[in-house]
Amino acid sequence: MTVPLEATASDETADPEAIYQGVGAVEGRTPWQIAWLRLRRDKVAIGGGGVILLLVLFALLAPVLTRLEGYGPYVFHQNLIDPTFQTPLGGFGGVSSKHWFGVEPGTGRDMFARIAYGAQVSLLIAVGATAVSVFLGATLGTIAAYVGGFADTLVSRTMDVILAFPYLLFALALVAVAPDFNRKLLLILIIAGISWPYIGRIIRGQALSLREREFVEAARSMGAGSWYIMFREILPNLVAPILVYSTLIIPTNILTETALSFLGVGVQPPTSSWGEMMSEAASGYFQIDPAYMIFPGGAIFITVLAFNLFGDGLQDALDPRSSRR
Amino acid sequence: MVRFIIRRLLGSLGVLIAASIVAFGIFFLIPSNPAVLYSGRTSSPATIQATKVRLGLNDPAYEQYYHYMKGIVVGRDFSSGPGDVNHCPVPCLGYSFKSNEPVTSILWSRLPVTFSIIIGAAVLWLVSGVAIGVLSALKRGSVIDRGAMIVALAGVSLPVFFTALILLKLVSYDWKILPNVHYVNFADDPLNWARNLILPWIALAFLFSALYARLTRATTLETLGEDYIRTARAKGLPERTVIGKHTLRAVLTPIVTIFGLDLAQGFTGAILTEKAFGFVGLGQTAVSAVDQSDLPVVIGVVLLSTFIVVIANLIVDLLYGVIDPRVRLA
Repeated sequence: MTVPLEATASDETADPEAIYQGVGAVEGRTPWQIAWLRLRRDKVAIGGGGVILLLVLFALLAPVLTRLEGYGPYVFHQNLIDPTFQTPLGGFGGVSSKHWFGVEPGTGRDMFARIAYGAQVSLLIAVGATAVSVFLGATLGTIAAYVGGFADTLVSRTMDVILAFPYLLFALALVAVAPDFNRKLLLILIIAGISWPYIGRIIRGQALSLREREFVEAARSMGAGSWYIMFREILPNLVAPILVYSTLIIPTNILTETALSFLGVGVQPPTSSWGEMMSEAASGYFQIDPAYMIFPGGAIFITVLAFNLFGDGLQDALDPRSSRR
Repeated sequence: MVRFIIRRLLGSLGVLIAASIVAFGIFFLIPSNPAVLYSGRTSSPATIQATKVRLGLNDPAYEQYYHYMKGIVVGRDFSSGPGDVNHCPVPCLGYSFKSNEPVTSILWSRLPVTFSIIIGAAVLWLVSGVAIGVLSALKRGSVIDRGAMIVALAGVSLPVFFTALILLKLVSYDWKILPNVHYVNFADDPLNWARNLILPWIALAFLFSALYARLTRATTLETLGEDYIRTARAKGLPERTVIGKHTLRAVLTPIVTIFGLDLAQGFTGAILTEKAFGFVGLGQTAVSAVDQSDLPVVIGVVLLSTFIVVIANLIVDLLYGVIDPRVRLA
């Protein structure tokens, strides 16, 4: 995350010297190499990146890991549930060597398996939505900036309107009218639909200034068409901000997905999701079985935090001068 | 200033119309059958046809939209024939499919809950976020700064509902400081109203407070490096004036901009907070309406909340014009 400002400043001044001292001959470095060096020195960001990697592995290997533990996510274990209170037997939600994260109150389904499969759902939807929103944001943002005029007004106003909407209610409304549509796809589209303006605004701003640069003029004077200039000349120069903001938009999308699941319009049961578990916990279990909210809540927290840390570090490395919100 | 206000008003009106078209359009884009929903699945075709006539569902979409919007402004009559006219007074949002209550009165009874949560939380997050941010910037690198920024980073990564449940579990259930949190009407008992809302306010404000503290800290640090601050100090102004007047004014400008944008987000947060605390506000109304396919209520909630956010944005915009005169010229 926040590398103190003085550290970044001294890094930049120290960098050229390091080049001269480190190797005999002077070596050229691409901007990407410099960014990578800067990122590598940011321990917090690397830590965040490491956690992200582990989480992705955790999600991908969910079937293997649950087999290792021995209990699937949909198997009921009523024998592990207290018949009067419906809570898991044993301390802290029934955590034991057999059930690593305990079991779900009421049903006795294994929490470790449900958290692992929930990671699959959350990451798939968040990353899918991010991909769609980056595509929309980058394309529309570039077009708006380059073409200008009516296209710019249309795209910019649309972005303003979307940003000013209480989007959760729109998402609820959409799910209400399309209950039979593939829910995961619907969630990806809804989340992408509300998050693309964040990318779009930034890309539009950057593309506006790139449009006036000499290399664009050069390309135009050599007879390049608008599409060529937009997507082969301007867009490649915007890879760094696109990368940074997609990393930073993933955690927001994860929070949106869990929020929708929390409100009961996420993926449909029996598919497990972190938000749905939180919603079950909120309906009363959290008072007598706090483990039931701590595991999914903690999973959301760790995931979002890791992406935020990595994204902030990436921003410092790629774009040290930009102000960060 | 008048031109500025008029321009903003027109802009807001545009957003509202766009929102209403989208909200209304959603229900025509995807095949669903409101008449069947309204009269129940087991009704005879004749009943369904009567319902369609009554609700005007046989008209083309744009005509239905026109009637709906007209209903909001001047009221509307539902009629299935002479002698059976049901007048729905202004602002008419139709009737709930499930309870047959006017949507307007349902929303009217739920609105105060959501409103109470968001207003208190917004005040809390503005004040605490800016205060913590300025303090961190002034004590840069100190334990306070580092501590505050670590908590702030955790804050932006915590889902609202998780914070809410932790607070409920610890403060209300385990420590019994604020036991039995439930919504009390402001008019009935203002003290109890505030007492029961303390936890929801903290839960919702925590996230935004963290965001604002980080932003304020960054802007304050930037501003403190400006020449005019050096000048202010050089001419011997007391530090209190330099920070409280010169710095704070520059810091508040971006905060106010973001505050306007965040109101929509705050609304979303309030819905989640409601659910975590078991309050029945607009969010819960929308969620149960979605569960029961009660489309008029869903549309009503969407329109009303957009309306509130747009109005709030308008106020912030105008306020912004007062704080920073340059905005008016843009």
